[in-house]
Amino acid sequence: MSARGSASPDRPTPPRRKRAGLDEATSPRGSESRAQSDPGRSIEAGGADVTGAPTPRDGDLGDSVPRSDSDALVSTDSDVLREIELIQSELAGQRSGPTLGRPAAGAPSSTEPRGSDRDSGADPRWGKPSPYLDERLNVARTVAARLAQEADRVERSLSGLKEDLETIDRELGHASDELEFVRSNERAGDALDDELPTETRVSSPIPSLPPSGSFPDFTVARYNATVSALHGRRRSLGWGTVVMAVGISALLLILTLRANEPIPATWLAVLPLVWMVPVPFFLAAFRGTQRVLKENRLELREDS
Amino acid sequence: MRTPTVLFQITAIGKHPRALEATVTSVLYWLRRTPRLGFRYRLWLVVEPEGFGMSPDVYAKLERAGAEVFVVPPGYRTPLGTKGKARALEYASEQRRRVGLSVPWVWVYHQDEETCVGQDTLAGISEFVRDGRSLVGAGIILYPLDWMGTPSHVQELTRSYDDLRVLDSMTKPGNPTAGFHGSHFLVRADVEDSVGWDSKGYSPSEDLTFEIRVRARYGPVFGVLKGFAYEKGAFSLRDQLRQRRRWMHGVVHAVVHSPELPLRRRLTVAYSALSWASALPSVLVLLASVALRYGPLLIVTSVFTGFIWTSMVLAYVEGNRLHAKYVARPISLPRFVVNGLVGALIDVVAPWYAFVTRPTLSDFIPKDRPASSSAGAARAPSPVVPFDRAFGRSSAQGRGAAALGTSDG
Repeated sequence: MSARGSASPDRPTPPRRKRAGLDEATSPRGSESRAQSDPGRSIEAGGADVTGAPTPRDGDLGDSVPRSDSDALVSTDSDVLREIELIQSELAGQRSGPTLGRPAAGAPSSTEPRGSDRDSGADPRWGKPSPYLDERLNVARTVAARLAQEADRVERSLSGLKEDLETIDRELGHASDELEFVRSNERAGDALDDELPTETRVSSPIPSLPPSGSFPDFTVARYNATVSALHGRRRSLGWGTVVMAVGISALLLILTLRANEPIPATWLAVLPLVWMVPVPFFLAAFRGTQRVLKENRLELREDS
Repeated sequence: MRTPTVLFQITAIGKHPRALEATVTSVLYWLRRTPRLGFRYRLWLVVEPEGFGMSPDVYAKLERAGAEVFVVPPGYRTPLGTKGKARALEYASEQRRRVGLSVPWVWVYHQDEETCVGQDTLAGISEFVRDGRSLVGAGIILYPLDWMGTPSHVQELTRSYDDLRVLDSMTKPGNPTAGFHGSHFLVRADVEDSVGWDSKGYSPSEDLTFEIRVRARYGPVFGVLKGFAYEKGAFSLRDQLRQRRRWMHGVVHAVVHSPELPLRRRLTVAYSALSWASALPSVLVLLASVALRYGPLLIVTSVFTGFIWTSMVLAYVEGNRLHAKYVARPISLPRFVVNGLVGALIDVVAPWYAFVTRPTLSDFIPKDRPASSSAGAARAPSPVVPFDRAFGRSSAQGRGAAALGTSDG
């Protein structure tokens, strides 16, 4: 049961280097180290014996392989428990027979097919079982149960870790897109630079603001200076308009009255209506202009 | 949260490659030089085959620089069969849906072929999309490009100041004075694509129709887009007249042929057109009053006459101030006044010219400076006293002739 077998083929493929490091960090080292520290009692070997399935090799991602690190742990613990159960049942059977017990010095190696042992029942080479065997088995069972609990906990942690990994995968993908986008824009910009006159190839806002009618001079600073000045004039524009309007109207009225001209025919009296038509529009425009200048500071942040 | 993407979309016939090139270059130039922009970008050029065929080299160069060029197929037809710019806009909308850009984190910034951007434009866009509270935004347009101080150029100054009225009206429920732009506006892609640009036949006011549809479907979702856009005015009085005629045709078309227009909105749009159209009769009445001596009429009208005159003058003065830092060659005060009067006269006549002529697809005016004008502009600097200095801070204040019409398109 290889740790590398936990790599899920249906997971989004992250960048290789990052992925490998994370896999190492989260692999169920416990099972591997147990197997390595007890070569004569390999869990993998036991697992193969029990299931009858071939032990997966590196890179073998068949269906028999657990699909995640946590699955691997759980599976390993189950194997341990099953193994203990088997040993216990074997011992129980031997205890009832005269020849069951621990292997003596000349006990068969673990490489020998144990299926034949089981088939043959009591093996005369096994000695008398230890009186402490039950106790040890209970301890082993307890430890295995605790191991299973730990495996559950690790599984939960791993699932959280898995979500984090997916987030990282996703963000790395976005970052990659961004990088590609920026690079392509740089290329477009480089092509553009060839077309621009030398004096326009500037990277900082223009400090002074001489009048100019070409787009390289259309800066935020110039814009802000223009709209700030307009804002600053708002009140004077409003009151100035009123004063001027009253002044002009009063002057016209005085001139009309002093002219003492005859009153026009009735049909001509409708003509003032023509003059009055746009008045509401102009009033609305005046009010709207004042309102937009009052409510909406049009300035932009200089550093934006 | 996903990083917003801003799609800079330049929709044009494409027959003015120099203007188009400057527009694209301005976008790419400032994208590279504006720090902390909170968006990714794409740059689309949507042009007609005849425009593309005129300067394929220019388009190839712009593609190498990072633009994506879309040529509207000659046989392309929208479901309702719209024509003109609306057709190209609808085509672009379809392309967005096709490639999966019709989503809430994509914004479309609409530009005409001569709509250059500055650092402030991009910073304003960034602030708008990061804020994300409004679905559509429009801002103030200046007209400093190729400025020569002609009557039509002086007249454009008033439009910039009038944009303040547009911004206020646009952000109010019902858009009482019918304000919107055909360029320098930003809209969330899914909103634009859900509303679309398709309508029956030729729609000369596709921008107004679009604004009406968005408002009808989403309500008052309009916000102020900070930062200027930089365009160029008409090069001649003839062009100015044709451009204004197209606007008036657009308003009339919207009033008459927009079934989605609520009655209240229809009335306000119609009133805007009426107030613009009333300019010419007003001038005629004034002249008749002087000639036929029925001055007592002024007893009635004089109460508001002062206000209207002041407002008109103020639009020129403040429009000029808005451009002061952008126009390299200011003109003398007398020339400014004369050119302003001539330009205003064109605006006064334009709606009536529109009433007696039919809408035409050829009303889109040149945006590349004519070679002769270019040579003239290269000559010695004209004049003299900057208008702003001549008037000073406490100058006459009023509102301009541009307020008579809408600023659409």
